[in-house]
Amino acid sequence: MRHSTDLRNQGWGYSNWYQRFTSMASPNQFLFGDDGVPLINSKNGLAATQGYIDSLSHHSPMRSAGAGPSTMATSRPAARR
Amino acid sequence: MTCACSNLPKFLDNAGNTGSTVTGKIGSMLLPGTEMDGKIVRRSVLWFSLTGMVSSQSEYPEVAYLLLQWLGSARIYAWITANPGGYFDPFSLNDFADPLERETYHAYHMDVVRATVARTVPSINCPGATAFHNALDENLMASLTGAKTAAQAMANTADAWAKITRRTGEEKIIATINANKAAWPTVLDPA
Repeated sequence: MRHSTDLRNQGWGYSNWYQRFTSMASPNQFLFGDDGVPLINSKNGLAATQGYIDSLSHHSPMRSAGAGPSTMATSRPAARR
Repeated sequence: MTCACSNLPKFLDNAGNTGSTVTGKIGSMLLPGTEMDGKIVRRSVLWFSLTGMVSSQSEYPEVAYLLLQWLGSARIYAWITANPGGYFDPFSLNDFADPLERETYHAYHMDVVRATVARTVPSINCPGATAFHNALDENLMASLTGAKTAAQAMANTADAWAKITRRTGEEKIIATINANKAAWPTVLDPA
């Protein structure tokens, strides 16, 4: 049985996507090239995103959008100011 | 399995967390990764958090600075952090070794957090960071709901990031990106 509860809602879920994407090259999958061009529209960006979508089938029911767990309530600056 | 903030075991694996079915059953482990060339690349992400600053309009800036310096010193920060009701989280080698912090945050967890820090990349830390995050966030949500394919989400996010870069100033963004590269880890794990 495989289940996860990592956050997928707006305002929180994308932090888990960053972890997927940056681990898809060795030693790192950078977000930008040295010239500042985004590297996310790529084979690895597509794989990270498709995996992020597909793993929803193993996810527990989510809380309402915008909510984080109580242990995280003040741990992140307002990302959506 | 979940990926949560580092204080989850402190507050949930806690005798005071009465009535919970998870108390006493929590474990910590390194995050999953990608296997490449016989090695596993595991990467967590550092989220830049709230920071104490001294106002340029302060009547007593030196005193304010000294207070922040005292609060951030190894012994005092560890004492505040170890407090069961405290909110600051361990982040330094001193924290991970501090006996009181290891008690409230749990020794099993502190060792994993220390190992995770060595595998952590900095999140976007440049002017316009919030705009970069929001563009990705909105496109990922659209992909999760099926409003966009994964390919469309990445293409649209990359377009938005390019616009944010131009708006903010390419030279400024490129300088920050390349300076931050020194903070990206090189640790790989055996497969």
